[in-house]
Amino acid sequence: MSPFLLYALVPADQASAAMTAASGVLSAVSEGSIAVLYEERDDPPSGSREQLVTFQKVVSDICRTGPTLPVRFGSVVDDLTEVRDLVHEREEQWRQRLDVVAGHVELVIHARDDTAPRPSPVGRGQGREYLLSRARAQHHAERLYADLVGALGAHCRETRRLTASDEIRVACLVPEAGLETLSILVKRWAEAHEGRHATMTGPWPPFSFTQEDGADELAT
Amino acid sequence: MMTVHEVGSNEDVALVDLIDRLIGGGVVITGDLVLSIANVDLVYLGLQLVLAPAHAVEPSVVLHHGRKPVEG
Repeated sequence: MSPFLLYALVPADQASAAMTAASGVLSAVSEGSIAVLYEERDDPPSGSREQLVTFQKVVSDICRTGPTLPVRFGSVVDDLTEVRDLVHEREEQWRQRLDVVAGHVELVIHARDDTAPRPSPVGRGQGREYLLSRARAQHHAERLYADLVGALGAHCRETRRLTASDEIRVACLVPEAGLETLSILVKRWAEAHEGRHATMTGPWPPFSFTQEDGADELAT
Repeated sequence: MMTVHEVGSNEDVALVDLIDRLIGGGVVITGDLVLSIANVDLVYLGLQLVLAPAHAVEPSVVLHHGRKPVEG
């Protein structure tokens, strides 16, 4: 049986337009008010950069037709019945999320403060000092995050803190008409204090906002 | 010095975000595995599609490996 690579969830009445926008490479399976867009393939995706970029472009094309919940890349099923069953089970939840993301895009903001305290190097007999320095750095990062979200939050429908190693990373769900405003606000935020840096990427499909904040991630 | 890069102007960061958005976000249904994408180390964790960007597991990995500009 051919594998089906899943791309996105859209309102059922949007499926036709979405398939057209995706240059006819996708099909749709509908259950209730939700349609799942998929591609029938000879093989599962290998995960090449080209496939990643293509997937992103297709999902972006779908997004231009209306509210869209992207599916995580690499989601492959052999039987569409299980997709129908899952949509049946989660239709109300996904319909609500489609309402939330409608007319919005995702921006990701990377922020750091070069003046922030840094953890001390680990050395023999310096465990307490190291832990205290880690705590100071963590505390500073938390304040930086709170300050950034405080500055931008009113202009975002929702925000999500993303994992990051040596910086703050925040996903913002922003009205399509609000991109420029948010860009200006981020610039002001960075310029308000010496040592701050901010980078924005996007607009992305709303990958970070397919579920309510704090909801169980796995659809099992 | 204070800096702000405009949207999409930093391709290294954009590639990291692209990969992270594609495999760290989105509706999780079920799926297959991908161990390496665009030379960035990934971790395959189970039968359900649970792929984590390497930095979500080991904070230092992505900083030192695999950052390449997006082509096209």
